[in-house]
Amino acid sequence: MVANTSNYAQNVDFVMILIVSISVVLLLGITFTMIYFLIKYNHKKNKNAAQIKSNTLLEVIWIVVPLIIVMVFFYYGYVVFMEGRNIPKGAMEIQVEARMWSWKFTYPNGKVTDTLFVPQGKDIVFKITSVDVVHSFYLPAFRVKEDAVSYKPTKMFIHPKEIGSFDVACAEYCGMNHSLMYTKMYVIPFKDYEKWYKDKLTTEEVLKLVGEVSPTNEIETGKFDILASKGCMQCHSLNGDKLIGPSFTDLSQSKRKVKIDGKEVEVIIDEDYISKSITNPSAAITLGYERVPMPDQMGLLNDDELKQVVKILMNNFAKKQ
Amino acid sequence: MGKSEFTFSHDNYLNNNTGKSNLMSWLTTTDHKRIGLMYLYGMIFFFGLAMLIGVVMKLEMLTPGKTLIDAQTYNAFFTLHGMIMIFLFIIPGIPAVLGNFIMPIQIGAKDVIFPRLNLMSWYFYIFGGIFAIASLFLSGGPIDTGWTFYVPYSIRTNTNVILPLLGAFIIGFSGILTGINFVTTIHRLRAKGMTFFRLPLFVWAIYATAWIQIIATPVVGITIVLVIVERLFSIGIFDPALGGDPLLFQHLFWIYSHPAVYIMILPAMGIVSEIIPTFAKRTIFGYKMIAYSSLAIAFIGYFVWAHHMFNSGISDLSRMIFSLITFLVAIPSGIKVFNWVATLYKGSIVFKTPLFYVAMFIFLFSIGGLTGMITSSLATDVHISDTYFLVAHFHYTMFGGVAIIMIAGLHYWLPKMYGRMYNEKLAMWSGAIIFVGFNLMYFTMFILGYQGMPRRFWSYLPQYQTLHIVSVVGMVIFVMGMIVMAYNLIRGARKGPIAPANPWGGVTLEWRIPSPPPTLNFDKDPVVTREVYDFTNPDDYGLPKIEERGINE
Repeated sequence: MVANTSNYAQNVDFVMILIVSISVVLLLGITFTMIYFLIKYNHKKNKNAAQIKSNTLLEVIWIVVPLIIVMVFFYYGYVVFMEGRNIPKGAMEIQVEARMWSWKFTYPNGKVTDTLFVPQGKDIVFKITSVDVVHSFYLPAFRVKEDAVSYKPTKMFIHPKEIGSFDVACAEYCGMNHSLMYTKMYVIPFKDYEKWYKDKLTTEEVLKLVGEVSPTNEIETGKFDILASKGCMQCHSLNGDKLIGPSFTDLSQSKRKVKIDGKEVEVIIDEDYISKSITNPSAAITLGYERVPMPDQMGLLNDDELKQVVKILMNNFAKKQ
Repeated sequence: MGKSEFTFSHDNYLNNNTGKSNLMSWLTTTDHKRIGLMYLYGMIFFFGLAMLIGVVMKLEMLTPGKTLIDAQTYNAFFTLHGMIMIFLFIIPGIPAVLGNFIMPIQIGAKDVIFPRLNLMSWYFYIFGGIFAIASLFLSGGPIDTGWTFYVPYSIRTNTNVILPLLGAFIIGFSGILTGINFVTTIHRLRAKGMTFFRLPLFVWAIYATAWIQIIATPVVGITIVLVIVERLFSIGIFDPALGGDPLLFQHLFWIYSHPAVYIMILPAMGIVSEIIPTFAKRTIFGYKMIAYSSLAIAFIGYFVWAHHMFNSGISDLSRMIFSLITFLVAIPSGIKVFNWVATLYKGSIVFKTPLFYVAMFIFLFSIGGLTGMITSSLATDVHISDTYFLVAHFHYTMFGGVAIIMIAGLHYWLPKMYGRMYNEKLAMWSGAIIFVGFNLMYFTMFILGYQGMPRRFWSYLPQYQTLHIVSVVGMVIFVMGMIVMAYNLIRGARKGPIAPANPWGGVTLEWRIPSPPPTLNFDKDPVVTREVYDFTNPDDYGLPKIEERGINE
């Protein structure tokens, strides 16, 4: 049951086992003493109760002994924690940007991904920020998490030992799709990582090497990959289902009633409108969808990606005449 | 509410001799006992509602994706479940119901010192409660921020945030006023001879709690006002987009909400210290240690708040200091548990329902406390914070600790409050069912959490499903036990057999007056001449012997 993903995770599990085993002894001790007294001193067997008021020695013992125990717990908890906080010089820095409800990872050379790739056996430090509300970058298998706050970056360190794919979750409640804010972290051999990093290997090729299929293998999107990977489809369906935002079906060229500055206006959805709706989502809101505002997408898409999304929406989701 | 089917002929607080209609006589009463019951009825309503919401939430967890409700509804549900349970049930719970009813009698007083303020506190509580749940029925939808209202999300969401926040603000006043009322009552209205070290330990616990309510609650009041102001006028206090600091909110929020945990648990500990001596027929072991440890918990409890923020980006030094102090809180709690178990030693124990619940409490609360070690230790907390482990931990302390003892207290004092008895066999069985269901439901969550299942998740990864299903099964058993328990108590209060004035052989003052108590509690002012929990000659207790009078068989 002890994690083998990193030495740190192993040590955390060691502290856990230490606390749990002593706790189990204490719990059983208390419970069985209680049950023993309840049976032994039942009024049927023991007619007269002894009126014992207190015992100084006992009181001292059960202050001092627990004090020693908790100080031991504190010590190991602190020491192991600090192991994860002393970040070695020269650790590779990956920027983690959280938003409602997706992750964006930026590598030192400017490469950007939405699933995380890290090399095995290297020091990695994550610089974590948020563009909107508070999130928390959580790698359960590595026993680490750190909040993402928008105004100051936080740091988190790992040194992965094991090759494989691991869940990345958001652990701080961040609204509607908090529970869908999952992605994957792939720990890959350093050699492959270098090739991938220098764009000599594609993501698909790297994943094949570690025995994975595709980062978004759960969603069958085909040519609409970008809509899934950028998180659009968490709120906008492709098939007309009413999710938190309007569906993409019959989108372009349709007439819609929207609210602009609190006033109802009818618009025809064109390229310009779609583009603006992505860069400044709250400027115009489709009637009936005021409850959960669309998060600001600035910085999530670069210019090319924005054009690509607009093009997909214009060409594939036109209103049938 | 107090139907005329009561057949007690002696003057008692349930008789309506005000000349008003029965309902009005309750709504305008200043009798601490009636107000205690009105809190109880309010709390049963709110608890039932929040439990129902909890049931739907658990059923949603049956499958990884959508089972019953959509994500937005789930988020609103866990927010309301938390808000109602915390602000309307578990914080006011024991002090407002049993503190109001029992505490003045235990110190030998005729009422609390400010009876009208006491009634006003109840109205604040009810209006606050209405505000808190009104958002369910308004356009924009119910609040979806979680009961912690973390900014910037609570500033930005379009759901009804201000109304429930105002609700929490108003309920806060109810708590502050009750706190002031109780502290003053305990200082000024003790009977002749009732020195502080002759006070029953329940009164000590209520006293410590009342101080936390007075000192800590204003902090959350201020925080709530700041959030409302920021939402209305976009002033940058907490939202970084406006130049504010979200960590400031977390600090302010937990400076209140951590001591609030002790507002919840201290009165429960007080009840445990009442029940054990009564059923063990002996004096409590380590009276002073238990009394002082209440004060120690109340005091140290102020300096541990940032352990809720170990991952929030505060400095490593703060994390170390808050971890250290948090471990220290364990000591006074440990002292209490050891003293309670020691009180059973060489007793002459009568094992009845209240004591059964106390035994369950000692087991469940020990699990809650010991897993608290895992959350205090930095290395482990970083991993398990904001996961199901935490959900399990605080349900073990909050339900396994507080609510179990509230149920114990209701069983213990029901014969005093209504003059009638519940069915003992049914009470034992329902307790056992609750115990089994509770452990099945929440112990699995420890495992889920350590495996990395974050909390407040509408949807989850398929690998967690098996344990979720086990937990749902536990929930079903648990709810069945709760229903039987509630049915038994309600039936007992309405139609149960007439109970004697002192069914358990208790020695504190409430067992020295008839059941239900007379309107002014004592016919004659009591004079206390001996220590509390003195069982050496229980019939001679400084009060005139009461005859079992006034009961029409």
